[in-house]
Amino acid sequence: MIPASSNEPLYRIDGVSFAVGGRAILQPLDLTLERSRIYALVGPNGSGKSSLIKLLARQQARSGGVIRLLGRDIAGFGEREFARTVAYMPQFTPPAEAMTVRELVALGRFPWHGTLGRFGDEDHAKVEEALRQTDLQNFAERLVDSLSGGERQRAWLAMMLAQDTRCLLLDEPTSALDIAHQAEILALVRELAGKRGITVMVVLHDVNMAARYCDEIIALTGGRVFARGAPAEIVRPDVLAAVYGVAMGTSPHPRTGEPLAYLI
Amino acid sequence: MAERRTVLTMLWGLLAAAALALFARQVAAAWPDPAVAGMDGDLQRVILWYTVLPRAAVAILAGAALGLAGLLLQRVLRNPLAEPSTLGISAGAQLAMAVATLYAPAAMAWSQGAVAFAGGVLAVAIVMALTWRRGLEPVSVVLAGMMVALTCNAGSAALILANGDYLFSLFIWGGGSLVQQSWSPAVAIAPPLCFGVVAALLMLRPLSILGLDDASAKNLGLALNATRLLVVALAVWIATTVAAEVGVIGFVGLAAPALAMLSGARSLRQRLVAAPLIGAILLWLTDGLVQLAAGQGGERVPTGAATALLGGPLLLWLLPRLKMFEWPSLSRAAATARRSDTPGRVLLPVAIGTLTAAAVALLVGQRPEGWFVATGPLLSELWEWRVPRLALAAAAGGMLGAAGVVIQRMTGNPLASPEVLGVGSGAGAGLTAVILLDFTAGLGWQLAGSVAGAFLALLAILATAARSHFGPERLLLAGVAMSALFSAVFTAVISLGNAQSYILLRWLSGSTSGATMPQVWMAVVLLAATCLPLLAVSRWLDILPLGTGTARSLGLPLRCARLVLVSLTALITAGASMFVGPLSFIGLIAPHLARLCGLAGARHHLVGSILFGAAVMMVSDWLARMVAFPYQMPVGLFASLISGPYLVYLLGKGVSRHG
Repeated sequence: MIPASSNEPLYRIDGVSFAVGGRAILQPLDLTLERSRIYALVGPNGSGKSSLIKLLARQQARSGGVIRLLGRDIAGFGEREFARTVAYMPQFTPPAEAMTVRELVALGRFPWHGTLGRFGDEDHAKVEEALRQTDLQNFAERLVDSLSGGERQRAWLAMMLAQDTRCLLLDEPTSALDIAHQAEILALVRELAGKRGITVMVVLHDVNMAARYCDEIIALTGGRVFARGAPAEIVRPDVLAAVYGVAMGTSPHPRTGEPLAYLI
Repeated sequence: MAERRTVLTMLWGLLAAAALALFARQVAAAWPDPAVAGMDGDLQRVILWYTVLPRAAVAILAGAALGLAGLLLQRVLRNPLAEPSTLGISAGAQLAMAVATLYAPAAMAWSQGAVAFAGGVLAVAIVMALTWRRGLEPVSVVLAGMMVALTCNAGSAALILANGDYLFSLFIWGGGSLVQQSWSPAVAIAPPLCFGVVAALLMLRPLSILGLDDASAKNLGLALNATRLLVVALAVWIATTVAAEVGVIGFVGLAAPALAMLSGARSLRQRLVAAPLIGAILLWLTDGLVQLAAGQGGERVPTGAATALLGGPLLLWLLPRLKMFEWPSLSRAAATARRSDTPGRVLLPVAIGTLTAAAVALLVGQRPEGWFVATGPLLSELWEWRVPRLALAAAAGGMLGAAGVVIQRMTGNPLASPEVLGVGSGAGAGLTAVILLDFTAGLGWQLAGSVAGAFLALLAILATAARSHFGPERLLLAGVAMSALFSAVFTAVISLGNAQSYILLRWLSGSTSGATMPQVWMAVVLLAATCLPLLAVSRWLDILPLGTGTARSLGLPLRCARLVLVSLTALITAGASMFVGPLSFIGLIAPHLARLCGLAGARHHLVGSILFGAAVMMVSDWLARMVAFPYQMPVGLFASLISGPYLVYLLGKGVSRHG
């Protein structure tokens, strides 16, 4: 494990680009992600959000540049070593037929015990903790595929928590959920990130959700970082219009006074 | 776009010119020498007039007919992969003719075409009946077609084995040889072809509407099923006439319409013209090349085998480029997962059942006077006969069960299996290569060749799948293409008609009757040596069905895991198929049976599937000995007859994706 005391940011991205079949998806971009913060990645379709998060998760190989995780090039990590540091949830969670919630969550311990290692006391404890923190104890023996959308998303979140990483990368975790469950999942992510002191990067479509639950918003457009900053700096008519390419307005939230975006 | 079309039209023109040039060469070679008079001169004229010229005519007509039949079938079934050979029509015709030759020679004498038509109609009727409930969904249709074709081929192989030389010529015929002695085949093919073209042009409008989905077609007032059945019958008539006259020629019917579309024939009318033309050029050219390759040495490789050899890779290349009609994916059907909380208690009765099957197969038998249970001295006499084949069947079944679990979990595809993906046939191709190189090769070399073949086949198919982001359906179709490719190799080798052919024919029909104790030990060692490591890495098998994204984010060493699993699977499949042939479908159904009992975790699933595989195989072996007593049938054929209906049941139910 990398010593937690070093002053390196969690991720340092230098001139990273990504292209498929000669078409540039991500222009060379630089970015740093600090520890213990929640980042939202927003932008229109095709802006490279998913590609960026997949590069960070090592799901795709970059075309150029360097991504450093805690000061080390991510290409130099071993598979399990990387999985002990970063957990990633794909946009579409695959069906897990005939698998119980507990079994799914226990898979999160694979990076720690490996192919042949014993599933020890610590592993059991981490699984229980993850189930407890996601409030899934009563569902532990249920089949994953028998759960509702929100519960299933929580089960996958629990698996990532059992992975016990420094960082969670979530690719549109709320895209299939109604608004109540969107809020529930994001609130849960925020609470757990605070409790565990981990960094979260989450791809979101809804900029208001991003503003409400994240510390910082990174806005991509055309494969470039157009703007990044605190929610109040991004949720502005001029920035949103430039990012999404439609006229948008903002008005203060009646209760909190935070800016809310709307279509004009 | 227009420019591209001109280029492509010119390309076809060039290919036609090449075929014409090859033809001119044949004619020049056969041209009667004016200096030779009398008998020899007459003979030369006869050869030119009754062999060379009709052969070209048949190639052109048969190619056009197959192109048309393929186009019609693809249109009415809305299935870009439908054609006479993928739907089992040709194989059905072949089996019908083999059966008729043996048991109803009068029917053959009356009309070969009618017998072939009956067989083809029966095959396509079975395929359509099996898949009707799934709305003739393309993958189900092709899978059912493949099953019917494989079973028919196994049946034909068994008939040939049982009747020796008498039917051997039938197999050469089955390879699709275009050698001619008269004009009559050409004359026989012409009427259905002309009729088909005219009928298709008359039915242009209904045919265009049939390309839409059922609801729209009904909405437009089309008598959907009647039209569909009529067109299918027409296509079957055309295809079986070709089959009756020149044998099974695969892939022309598949390739011609697809190539017509890729060459820019967009509307149905354009395709109705282009597909038969392209089919004619393809077959004429292939036949010219085959004759060129055969040279003066005479005709050995049937043209049908050559078209399949060219067509298999073509299909693999086409798959990612074909626009498939969008059907509800197999994987999206509602999951009815069942699982047991106490897998140990499930495994115990399964194990007991397997042992019971073994005991019955060992003890119960038939003799001329009736059934009997062998005990005491009789048992010890029968022991050395029954134990080796039973043990071999059980070990092979267990291996296939294990391979099925690994492949299904690795691809996340409930319909994948070593048989369906062509891995078993790949093993056969390796075996073929070894026995062709050295006829006397021992068991070890044969196994090595099989393993290499299976490994390459599995690797190729997974690599293709990974690169083109295949859905589960296309993976299966790639497997079908792979199997077809290899069976072309088998047909070509078998039609050589030498000692190697018999080895291969025996292997193809899957027989354990010659089992020896060394084989048994080898199989048992192989089973243990491959399945114990699989149990050790069962965590991989738990994670892999969740997809590569999840597997990677959990830190699974994907490359290494895949390599290990592919190697082990190749070893298992090759071992199993060496002993029981390539077509049992045990690898498909054993994992399903284990899952139905609620064995969900990878480890229990694997053990359960091995037990089920062994049990089904032993039952098949016993049935193969008992059903046609005192004759024996090949066990592989029986295993596929038992598991085939189950596959179809799965298709009908709409399988849920499982892991």
